Amino acid sequence: MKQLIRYIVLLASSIALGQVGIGTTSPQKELHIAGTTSTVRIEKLNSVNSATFNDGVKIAPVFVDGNGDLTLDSGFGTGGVEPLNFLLDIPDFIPDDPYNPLGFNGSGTVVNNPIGVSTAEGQIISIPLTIPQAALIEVKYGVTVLIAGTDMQAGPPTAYTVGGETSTIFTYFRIDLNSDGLSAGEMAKKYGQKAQMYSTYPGGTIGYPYMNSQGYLSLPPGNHSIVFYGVVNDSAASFTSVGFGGTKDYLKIRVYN
Amino acid sequence: MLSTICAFAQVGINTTTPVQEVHVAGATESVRIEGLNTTNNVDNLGVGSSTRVYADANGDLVLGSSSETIELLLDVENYLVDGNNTNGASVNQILQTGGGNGYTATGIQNDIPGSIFTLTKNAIVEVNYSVSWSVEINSTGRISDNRARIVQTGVYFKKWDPAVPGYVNILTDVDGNFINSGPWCIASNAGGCTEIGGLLAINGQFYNNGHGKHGEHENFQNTGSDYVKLGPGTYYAMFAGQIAVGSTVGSGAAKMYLGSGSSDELQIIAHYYY
Repeated sequence: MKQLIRYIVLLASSIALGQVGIGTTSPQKELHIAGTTSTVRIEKLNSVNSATFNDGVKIAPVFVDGNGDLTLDSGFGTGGVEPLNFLLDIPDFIPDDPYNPLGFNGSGTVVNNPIGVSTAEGQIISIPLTIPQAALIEVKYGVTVLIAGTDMQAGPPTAYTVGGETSTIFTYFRIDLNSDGLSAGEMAKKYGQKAQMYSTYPGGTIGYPYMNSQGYLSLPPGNHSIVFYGVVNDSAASFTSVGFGGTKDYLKIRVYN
Repeated sequence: MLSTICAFAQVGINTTTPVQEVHVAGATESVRIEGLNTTNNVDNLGVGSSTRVYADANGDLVLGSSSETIELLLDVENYLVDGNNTNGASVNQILQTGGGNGYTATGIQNDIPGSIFTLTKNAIVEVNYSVSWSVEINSTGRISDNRARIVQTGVYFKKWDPAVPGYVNILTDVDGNFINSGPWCIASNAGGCTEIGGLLAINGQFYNNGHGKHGEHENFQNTGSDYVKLGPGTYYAMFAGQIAVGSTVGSGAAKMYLGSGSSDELQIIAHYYY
């Protein structure tokens, strides 16, 4: 058997190879490291050289940055590499004026249920959502509601709802893939449904309780929209006006990819 | 037998100008490490799945399991002291306000040392709770005016500050953004706001009753779930609550008690970035 041992030491030089096998003479990838316990050591990533992110006790997740370089990072701050999953925090995501369109720009935060109608649905807000790659997303939200017996699109509330009559309020969201309008299929799928009842005599509170719920869904890459809706149910003989998002709301979206 | 040891300053594969110590060029090129494949490594989730890669203390690439990325920091069945406590250290009474930001920081933990948790590094922290409450006019009378009340609850965090030294309410997340577009007034008196905090997982529901002796006034739960990014430190969670009505004329001040029931579930989970 011919034994060949070569030592090549080239300082401050580089070499270009087509495919490299370590522990194998038939590399299947450009760099192929064979052996049942094989791995790669990158000293830049060890607990001495990357002490901030590698504490030497727990193993530290390795990310690939935009250049394809293996790196450790926190994912925080403007210079941080995005982590494998991240959190979009959209505070107060609905404009605060519930008396639209008299005050703020934006519309659709008030949903009226007029006389002769027992169920009324209205769009609250559409939030753009850019997904860089196919991902599972988790949505948690909290939306405030304000309830009156007079039309809050026309002005501040001046009367309570009819005393002793119960109404219900729903919130949920739909997903508009590619932000090209909701198709019949997209309209049919509601996520994060939440409802509660309301009933008062004059002197009761009219707002703002938080409606909160959550949902998971899978999304393809693209520029999508998450569209929130409110529904008001009451007696067909009564008028109920509900303002959604009149004070601090919250929307948290976790992206898992 | 071919045994080769090569020591290069930089190695380029499919490139003559490597810019890293190992540079694999080409649009579809990759690196295969058999020691990490599904045959050789039990932590590999298998074909059709992707498995996270980690670096150990030596900088060696290894595979991890779920314990590296997620940790249940707190899982308590009855977080707050029970009963209607109107005085002493365990006060959990909240007086009715007309509306707005009339929160009251309230309740006290059954197990104070056991409520404290430590984050060793940045994390997305998830809060899930179900907190009990009851409501009354006084110990012998219930709300009877048929006026709607809102019962609102939320969680805020306190963090150890060695400079005080003591626990102080945190208002911002690790990126410096105010939590849920706060700061929130979580305690006030006639003179205005006396304490601010960063309220999370805020939830409210309506209550209404028309009979002074009958109608349920206890055994209610508010539930909330939320995320916040927190940095390293020692923390514990507290509750704040609010009961609001439009007018108290002719009805007197109602009171609510947070944590009065036997079950106040609180879970705090850390999802680590690194």
